[in-house]
Amino acid sequence: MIRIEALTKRFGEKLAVDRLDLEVRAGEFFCFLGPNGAGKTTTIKVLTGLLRPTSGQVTVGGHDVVRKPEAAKRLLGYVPDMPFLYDRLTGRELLQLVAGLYGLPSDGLAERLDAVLATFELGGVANQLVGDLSHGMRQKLSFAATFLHEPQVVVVDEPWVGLDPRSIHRVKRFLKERTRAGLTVFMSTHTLSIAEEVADRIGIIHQGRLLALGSVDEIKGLVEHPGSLEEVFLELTQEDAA
Amino acid sequence: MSPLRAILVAELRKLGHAAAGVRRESRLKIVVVATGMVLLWLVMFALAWGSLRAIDRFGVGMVGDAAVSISEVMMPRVLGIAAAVLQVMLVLSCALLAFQSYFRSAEMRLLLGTPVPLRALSLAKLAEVAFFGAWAAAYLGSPMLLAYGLVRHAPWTLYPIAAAAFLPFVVIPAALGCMLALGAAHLAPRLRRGWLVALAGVLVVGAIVLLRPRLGETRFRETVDLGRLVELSGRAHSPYLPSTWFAETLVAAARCEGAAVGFNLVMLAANAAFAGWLLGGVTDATLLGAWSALASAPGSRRRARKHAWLPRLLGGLAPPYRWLVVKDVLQFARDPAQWSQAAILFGVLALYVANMRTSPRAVSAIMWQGWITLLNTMASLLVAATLTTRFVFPLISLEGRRFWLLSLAPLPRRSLIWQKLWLSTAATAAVTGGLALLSGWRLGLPPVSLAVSLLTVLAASLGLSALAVGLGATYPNFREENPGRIVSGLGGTLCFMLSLAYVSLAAAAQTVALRWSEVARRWGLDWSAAAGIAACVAVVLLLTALATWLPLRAGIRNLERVEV
Repeated sequence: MIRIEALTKRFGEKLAVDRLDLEVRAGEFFCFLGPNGAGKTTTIKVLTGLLRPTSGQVTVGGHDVVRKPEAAKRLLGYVPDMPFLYDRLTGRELLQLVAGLYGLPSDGLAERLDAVLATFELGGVANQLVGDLSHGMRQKLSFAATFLHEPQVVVVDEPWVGLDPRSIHRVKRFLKERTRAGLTVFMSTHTLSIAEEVADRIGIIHQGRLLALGSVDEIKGLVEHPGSLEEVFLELTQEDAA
Repeated sequence: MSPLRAILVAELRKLGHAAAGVRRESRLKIVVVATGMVLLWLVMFALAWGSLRAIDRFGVGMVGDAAVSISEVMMPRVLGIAAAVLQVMLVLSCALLAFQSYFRSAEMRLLLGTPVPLRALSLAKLAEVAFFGAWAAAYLGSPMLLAYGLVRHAPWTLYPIAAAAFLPFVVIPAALGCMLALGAAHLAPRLRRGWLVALAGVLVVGAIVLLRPRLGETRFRETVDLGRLVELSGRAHSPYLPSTWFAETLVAAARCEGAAVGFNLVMLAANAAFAGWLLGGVTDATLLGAWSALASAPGSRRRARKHAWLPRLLGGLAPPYRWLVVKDVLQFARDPAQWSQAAILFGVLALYVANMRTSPRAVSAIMWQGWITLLNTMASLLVAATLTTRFVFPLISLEGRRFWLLSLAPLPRRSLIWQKLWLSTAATAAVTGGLALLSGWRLGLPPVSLAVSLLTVLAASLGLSALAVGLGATYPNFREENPGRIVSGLGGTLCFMLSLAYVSLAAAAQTVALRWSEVARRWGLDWSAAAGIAACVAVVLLLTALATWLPLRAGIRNLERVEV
């Protein structure tokens, strides 16, 4: 469902992603790990069409995100790490805007909005201005906006910041259930315990290069003394002592 | 390092980084903006020099039965009126700047969490607001100062003395602006909406009652009534106003009267110091309460329900465009910093229309008839240029950190530009077309003049909107959340300069055509008169086509390339 081929992204002299090759299958829960500045968010932004690759190709559902961005975006949903939304719209108005942007039919839209608001426990605050909501509420509103058009691929960038434990549990369970129904999830996170719990496969990126790719057990097998995913991650991504 | 010094050093560093950032801007943009600013300065200087020279040459005139040196009486008053206008502008702009700085800046969240004394914070804010207000005042005031110095053959000491007087002259309105912002933030969240509406109503009724006796007067005359001129100018020259002290400082400096210079400088400095001290007290008493009150203002369920009619009204538009328009309108309507400035602009417009009492038919000379018609069109076009630069240019930038949401949608990015163009054109045409019709009716313009004026204004609504949307997309500033700051950047200045150039050319085309048709008609050449009008229409449409196509093309190209 997601195919990344020889992706390179430079910001001037800085090489953020270096010839990355990666494929994520339909219905797979893929976790993308890496230290700060490793190239995770850059990869995600290229994948969602927000950044253009310096070279290489990214396709979503067979559609090139550069050449056929609109077709690719119809399949995509994206939850960013910082939920910057329109502060002076209410939650419901924001969802109506998103529904309009995706050209969702007006018939049954109100019910659909209610359903997605209820899924993320936002019914009580739907008519409040986004600017009045807490960080966690905004994050849940991002999720609601993402799932409004029923995407086939959801890209999630460090979604747990600001969410309370109950919400984390609910979102985790929701994403996992949807992958069983065929949704593809591409999630970047620093919360290794969650990655270990939900991921079908894990990719570890460091200094723009993919260091490791495989199931949790396969990743753990890459080091001499396998321990928790955290220990394996630290060993794989440790800086050279110079 | 004291907290005040630490804050000021940080502010200076921010300014340094912003200045360094100018080097990264395109050279074309810098050259166009610099040239435009120099040209505008020269125009203001020429106007000031011409006016002051005319007053200087007036010599002695009869006011009633007395012989009066018009130059000696009027010169300080003209300077005083100019200074008073600058100070009123400074109070309003500083109040808006201060509101943003006190209650909307990210730095304040950090500063309020530290043990910085509130009085030190007030001085830092005063310095920041005065600085941002001062550069505009210096730019607008310097042509007048230089013209005055040249006309009066003043010694070089006039200019350093003026610079010394300028500092307290700016600090006083800056402190007043800060206090206004603090007062509004302190009181507004505590007052019920009904009380606020009642307060606004009282202010409007009060203004009408105060202005009404003067609305019946006809000010335009083909002959000068010196007595009336001296009497009217005296009203703005009160000895209790800082603008008068500033003007008297300049007059005394030009005459080398050291004692008068010293007295007026001391008056300015003492009042500036008092205003700063008072601001410290007001900040101490109100800042934390106002901050808390603003932060704990209740949510707006009621407002959300009230706006449900808007999407229904736009039901004919395709869903993406309908909801993009709804979003832009609601974001504007719910942002007090935006609509309050729009309200001020419309208030000034209302005064402009209310003050129109001179019909071109009331004056005999054709020259004056032409000038009144031209000035009317220019006023409408300048309003359109101000509206589009201030409110339309920042629209793309204001998507800011939320641009990801629009970028993810399966819509070509250019559709965002078209949506903003048509929204802006419709809104601008409604305001300026209405203004042109209303002012044309008040002035009793002949039908042909009114039709050409209306056509020019409607075409300009499209051209100016395209300039603002196109340049806004070509030079977006996605990091800035404050529309005022977005507009005051290089891109905004460029937009205003090009808008002024377009407006001037369109108005010039209209003037030439109307004068041509007038002269041709007097000679009995009706076909030539019609050709003149047709040529004007063609020139205006051509200018509009260029002003629409070029910036939109650049904007679309840039927006499709931009990375979020």
